[in-house]
Amino acid sequence: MTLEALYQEIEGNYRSVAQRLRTEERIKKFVLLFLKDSSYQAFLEAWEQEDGEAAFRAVHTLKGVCMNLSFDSLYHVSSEMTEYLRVNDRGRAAELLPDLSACYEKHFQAISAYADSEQKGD
Amino acid sequence: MKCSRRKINKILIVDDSEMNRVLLADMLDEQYEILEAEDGMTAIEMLHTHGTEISLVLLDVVMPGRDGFEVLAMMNRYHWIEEIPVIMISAENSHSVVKRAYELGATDYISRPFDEVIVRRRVINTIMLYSKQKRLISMVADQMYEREKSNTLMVSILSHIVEFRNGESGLHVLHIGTMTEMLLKRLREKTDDYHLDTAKISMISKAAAFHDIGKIAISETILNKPGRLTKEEFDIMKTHSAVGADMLENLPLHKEEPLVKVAYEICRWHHERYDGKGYPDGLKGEEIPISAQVVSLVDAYDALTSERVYKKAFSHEKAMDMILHGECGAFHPLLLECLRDIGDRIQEELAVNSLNRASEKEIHSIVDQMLSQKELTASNRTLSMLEEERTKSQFFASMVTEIQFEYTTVPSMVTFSDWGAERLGLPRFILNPEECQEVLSVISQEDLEILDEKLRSTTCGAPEMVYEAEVRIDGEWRRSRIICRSLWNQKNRRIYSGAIGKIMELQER
Repeated sequence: MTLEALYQEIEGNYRSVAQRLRTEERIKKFVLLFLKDSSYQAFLEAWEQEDGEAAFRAVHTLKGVCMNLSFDSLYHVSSEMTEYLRVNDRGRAAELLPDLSACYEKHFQAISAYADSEQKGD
Repeated sequence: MKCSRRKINKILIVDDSEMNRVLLADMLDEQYEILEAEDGMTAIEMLHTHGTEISLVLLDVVMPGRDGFEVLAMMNRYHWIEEIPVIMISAENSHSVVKRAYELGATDYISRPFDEVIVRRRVINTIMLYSKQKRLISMVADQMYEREKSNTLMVSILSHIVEFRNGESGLHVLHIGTMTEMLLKRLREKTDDYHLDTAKISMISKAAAFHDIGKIAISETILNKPGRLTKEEFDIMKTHSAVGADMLENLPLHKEEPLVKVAYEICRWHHERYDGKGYPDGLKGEEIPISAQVVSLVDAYDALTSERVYKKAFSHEKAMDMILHGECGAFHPLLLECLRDIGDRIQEELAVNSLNRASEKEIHSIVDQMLSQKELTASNRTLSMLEEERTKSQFFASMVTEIQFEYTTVPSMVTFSDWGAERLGLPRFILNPEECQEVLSVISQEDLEILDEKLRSTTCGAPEMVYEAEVRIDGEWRRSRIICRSLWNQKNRRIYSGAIGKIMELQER
């Protein structure tokens, strides 16, 4: 699987990330690092503990990461979540939560599959 | 850039997301040495440790604990922001956030997503801009230094000529300058009545060199007469103060210069007496400008402790005794008090300040002062001196097996020596120690409050203080002695700015 195909699958913007990060090697390195990024887990934990502030910070971080990787679809939904939590609107945040989780899972699975294919390819 | 290949510039990346830090590091680590901090507190610690070795900070805004704004506030507090540029890196693009960052002194703002070309370019530009500015400041400082040096040289040649004729030692003028400065500094600590700032003290100390220029109008037979002067001769001798002042007043140019005006005061009135029995005008008490009062006292001390054609030199102790007992004139009681206060240090200072060192020191301080007056930041020279001091104190603090600490009021923060932090079981840096549970687990709230109150009730003139309390050292409550010295604001000496000190166990283990 190519990086470009991966981006297509997760509705990211490959052209933008390629322009900014410049080498395929670097993009690959950071796309794989996404699997180790803990901001989504931190967000879920804070959400369950009803710690609005920590949830805000964590989803804010996730948004920043997505922005840097041009993961546009996940960026949009995490960005929306950030704004709800910024004003402590737990109701609307709760409505959005399934979308965010689904989108994150989709990214995680697609990138895991990509990582596997890369390993086999080596 | 040649230097960047050697990676002499350090960049501190502050971001709570490891991925963002790695991404930025990846873009920059070919050219720069990268330091990373995952939150604001760690960033502050690193700034403490590395100081201006850090060429640039890349700073995130939203972070757990201390956020980016707090780091900026702290950098303002320690004046790091004047030397270390900050580029904000944030996913926050709201106008108010960006505006606040700029207001707190950030140089630039890079929005996410990061673009390698833009990140690199902005980092290079900012570092170059700052180093260019530092180079320019240092060039200006060097030129001012050269100019001041020749000015001081002229003053010292001129006053030496006068002394040469008087048969006085070449060091006389130097001693007068040094002691005038010491006395004025002490006086400033005691009272604000004379509005003595550093610039004014420096000007008076410099102008003091001219106090006896009128003597060039006095014949050498009188000046160097070994025996006692007759009444007529003494009357002639006494004209030197008015003559010197007239010479300055009749200068075709420059007589409006502040230095010349102060020199005029000193020339004319350095033989007035506080009780009104001096000459030439019989001024009394505070009618005599403070500049002339101080030089008069200093001149009396130097005359007593120097050998003259008509007398031997008295010892420091004897001279102090004679002046303080009113045997050598009448002086302002507060000035006598100042003289008594600096008494122990006079000989030391006069000995240490050999001709060259004193004028070098003076020039440096004048140049630095001029720079600060022109609202430029401190010169590179000062910076590197500070840097050196920081390295030195860190080195010594790491070696001593003592619990040492430093406290600042704004922001309220305490820093322990490595050893101290370990023995108390505390982190090296603690913000708001008065509210910190960890601190309250090694000393009681009550003791902490008394300590704070005692420190605040010390004064700039008597800053030392000792307090005994139970402190938990190595996990055990121990009766300890806390020895502190309060620190006072450099500009306004009435403002308490913090303290340094150490904690000692009272009983042996």
